[in-house]
Amino acid sequence: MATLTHLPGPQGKDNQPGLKGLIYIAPEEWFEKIAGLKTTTGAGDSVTIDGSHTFKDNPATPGVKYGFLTAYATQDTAQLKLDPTGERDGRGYKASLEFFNPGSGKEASEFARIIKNESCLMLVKTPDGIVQQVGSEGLGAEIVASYDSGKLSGGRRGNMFKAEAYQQGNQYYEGTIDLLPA
Amino acid sequence: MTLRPEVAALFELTSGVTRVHVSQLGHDYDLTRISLAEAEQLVAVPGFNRLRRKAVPPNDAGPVAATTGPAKGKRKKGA
Repeated sequence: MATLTHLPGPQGKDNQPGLKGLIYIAPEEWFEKIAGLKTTTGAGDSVTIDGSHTFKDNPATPGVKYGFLTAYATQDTAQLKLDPTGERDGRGYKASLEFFNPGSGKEASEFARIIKNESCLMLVKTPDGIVQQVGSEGLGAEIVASYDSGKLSGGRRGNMFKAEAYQQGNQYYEGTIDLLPA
Repeated sequence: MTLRPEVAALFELTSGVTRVHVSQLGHDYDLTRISLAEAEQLVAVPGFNRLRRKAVPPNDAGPVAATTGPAKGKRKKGA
């Protein structure tokens, strides 16, 4: 287990909040191997994924593997939060990720219908390019969508996706992100 | 699912993965369409293993080998 270290301030470095507008999503069953957290003891290792995830062959396209789906998120709608769970002497975290995907096409409706029945891994990117993972093997993220048609006088039309996963803390992914072929 | 010919001459795919996002470079890549320069850039990324450099047999080194073979002098005609 890694040891505790000092927590410095910004020291002149940027610390912009928020997430970039592309979310990576893949059902757990698509993975061949889900990499776990590093077991080495360097600073930050206990919250860093060890290597890259790999995917199974996609039976719909022989010879080609599954990969992460990408979901566009309207700017300034994506947010990742971690809140403590459990009781004294037995605590963990619940990660909550939400983002808004505009539109009311059949694809989005079908995605919303199916994804609620899947356990997923999700990746998000901070403005400074750090990739954080929501969900892990056996503790995947559950994703549900809330649709809003908006009103003629205002509002937004589309799906607000909300995901939740139980994990030990923030998880940092530094591997290759394989993408599902278009 | 094949690389561009000039890339395929030097590199090969290691799996059925053709589209990747490489965070260290901040880009998405379709490996079937990358240039030679992009291939070089990708294999230089630590931990990236969706593409690898082909092993070139010592006796199949292309133009370099051709220049190191026995000299073929022009035959002089007449005196």
